[in-house]
Amino acid sequence: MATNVEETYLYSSPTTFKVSSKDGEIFDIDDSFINQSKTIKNMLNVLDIADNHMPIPLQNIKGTMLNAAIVFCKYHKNDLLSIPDDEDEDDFERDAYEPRRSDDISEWDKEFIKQFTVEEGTLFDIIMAANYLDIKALLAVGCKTIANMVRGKNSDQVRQMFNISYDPPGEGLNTPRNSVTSKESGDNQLLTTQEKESRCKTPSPELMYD
Amino acid sequence: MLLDEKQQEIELSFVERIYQTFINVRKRLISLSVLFKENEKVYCNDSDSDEEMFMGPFPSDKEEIEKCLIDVDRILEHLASTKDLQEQFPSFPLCKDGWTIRRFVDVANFDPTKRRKTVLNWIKLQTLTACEDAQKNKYSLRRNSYSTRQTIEKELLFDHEHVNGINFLSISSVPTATITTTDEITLSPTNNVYDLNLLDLPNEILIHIFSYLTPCELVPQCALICRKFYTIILDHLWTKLELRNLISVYDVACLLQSVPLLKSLTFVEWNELSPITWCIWLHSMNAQIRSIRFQSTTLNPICVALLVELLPNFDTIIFDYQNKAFDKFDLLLTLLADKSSLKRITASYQLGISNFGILQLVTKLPILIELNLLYVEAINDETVRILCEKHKDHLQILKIDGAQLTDKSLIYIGKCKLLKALMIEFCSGMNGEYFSVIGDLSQLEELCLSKLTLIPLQAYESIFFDHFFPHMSVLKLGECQCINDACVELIVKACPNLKDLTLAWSPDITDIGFETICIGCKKLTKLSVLGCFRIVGTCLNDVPDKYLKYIKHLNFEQCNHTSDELLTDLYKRKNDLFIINYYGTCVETDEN
Repeated sequence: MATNVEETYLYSSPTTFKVSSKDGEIFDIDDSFINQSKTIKNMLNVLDIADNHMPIPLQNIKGTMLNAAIVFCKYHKNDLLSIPDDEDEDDFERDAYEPRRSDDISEWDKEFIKQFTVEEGTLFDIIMAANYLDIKALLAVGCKTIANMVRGKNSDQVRQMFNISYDPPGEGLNTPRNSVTSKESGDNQLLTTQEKESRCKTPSPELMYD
Repeated sequence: MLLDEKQQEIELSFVERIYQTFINVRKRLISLSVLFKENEKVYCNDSDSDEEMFMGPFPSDKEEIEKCLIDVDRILEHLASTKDLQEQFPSFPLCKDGWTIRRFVDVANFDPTKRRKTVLNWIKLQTLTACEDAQKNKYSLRRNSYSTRQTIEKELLFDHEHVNGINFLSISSVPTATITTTDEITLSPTNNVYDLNLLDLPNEILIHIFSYLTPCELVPQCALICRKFYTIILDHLWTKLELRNLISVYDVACLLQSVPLLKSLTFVEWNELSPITWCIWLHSMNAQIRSIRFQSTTLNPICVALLVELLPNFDTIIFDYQNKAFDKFDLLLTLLADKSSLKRITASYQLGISNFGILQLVTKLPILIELNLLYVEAINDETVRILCEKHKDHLQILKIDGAQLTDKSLIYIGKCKLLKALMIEFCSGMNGEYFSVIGDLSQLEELCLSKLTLIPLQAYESIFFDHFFPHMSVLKLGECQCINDACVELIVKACPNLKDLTLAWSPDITDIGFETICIGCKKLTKLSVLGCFRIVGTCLNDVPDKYLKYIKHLNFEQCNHTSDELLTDLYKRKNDLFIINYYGTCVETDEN
């Protein structure tokens, strides 16, 4: 197995660990996952887990998403070396005039991401999972997919696609074709998955005046 | 119509502020005039002997200052009389741009939160034009064949000014499983299927998503979707604005108040503006602005004095090449020398720069990180010595013209251990004696030297032999006639992370050297072997399967041993490649 030879890890063998998801499913993870998920890598370095029979709890992630992330990492275990180093990966002050490419999703990744949908919200779940686990490649594939969905559509179509509520017609920037009753703003509150599930309603943007 | 009291207050304070600003500008111009007069003598003494290093300012500069002072006095007079007469004549124009007291009030009262749509429309206009221009540039680059000489210039000189590729409305494939046609998605507000909505994603992920979209997609489409997106896009992504001459000078003043996180601002094609306009614009700008750039925008000393006076924190200033440039640039440099926050200066190609102006800048500024003065032939060894001795602990980027430089200046440059980018054009006065100094600048990321006709092989060896440049990503050596295959191997070994390599006009490089590059430089995206006419390029057959996986740009101009078929075949295999053939034209297939 081709692993990154230049990097050394603080934790020693064993190379497989167990993790448990929010809904109690237990998965085995190996090097491929640990190397790509910075969160797990840091956890292992900090926790210094000697006993690999005790699963590491990942309370934010559903079993299905965790499973998918593991599959993704298994497939991508060898590309670690070939990804050209992108220094400005984390730079949010990056220049808006130089967007990153989003048309370079590989065939396998395209197929992989198809199992997640906007309708069920699973596409957002997998992005949140990737963000939590800090798997850069998976996060990028998810974000690129959404960017590609948004691209070339007018704002009305985007609102429809992502079920974003409209403001009443004529009141602001996003004058809709057909309006949906606005509920109180979900604008400034970021809800976690769990909170969201308990509420199960579409967040509405605030009005925009002009 | 009478203005109410509150408005009167606003207008009073506004006019008062502008008046005060011009008083300060006047002071700056007077001290500038004194400085130039004091140094006048230096120039007189030196004009007859060629030997003396230091020169004073050009004599015509003084006249220019006098002219500016007259202009400022006139403005002050005008403002003062307006202050007295405002109640009778609120619509009396103050300058040729038509500013009136009423306009001042309108600008001062502008509330961006109530006028989102207007602001968005302004930004939309600016953005779409910027994108269109970028698109045009790209297109003409692909179409035009340019002559050899121009290519060298393009390759070596104009690179830092390239419009960064905007991936204009690229139509990407969309996963079909997730979207059928939008019409088929039925909406019901009570639909509880959704666990998570796009709006639930944290801002940093939304910013990540938006980072894949171009400004011309973000502004007209995404910002309109909802207020959250509008805020994210305008506040978090809109840190850079190119301001063109598309909206009125009054609207510009309002727009500048509406982009609170703007860090970098480019003025494009704003000519012949009244100093009052500049003053109001600069008053409207966010004080946190860091970088100012002028493209095809002519400035005079009054504008620069306003800039220095009004923007507290800017650290970067860029003057782009322009056809109708202000030709007494020493004045501007001397004014800028008083701005102690300034750390990065680009004034390449500007006219009227003498050693005097450069020295003012170099000696007065406390910290200088970046200095770009390409095509400014004034710079000599002594100036480089003063520059490097003062700023050796800060200087990271130095791009200068080498016409007057000898090898001695390299000794001084060698003291700047933090240098990341070094470019010296036209090293025609150098003989390579102290090139080994460059070898010790291990932080270098970019090294560009041109006109190396006289530099012997040993000089290159002293740079690259037994030295290691782990960060070097751009290396350009122009007219490096003495480089051979063995030296290429040294280069490849010393700089394993190269992304952009140019070796121009070196007849001693053969296929052996070329293959060394292909095998050794795995990260190359851009490679130019312009005029290296002994290269056949057989190993291009293994591109991109074995070598040069990430290559995007190949230049084989004036390489008459490289066959056209080889390049055409390569293009057929990898058609996102931009290949320039012997004739200096872009390789395209017949179908295109």
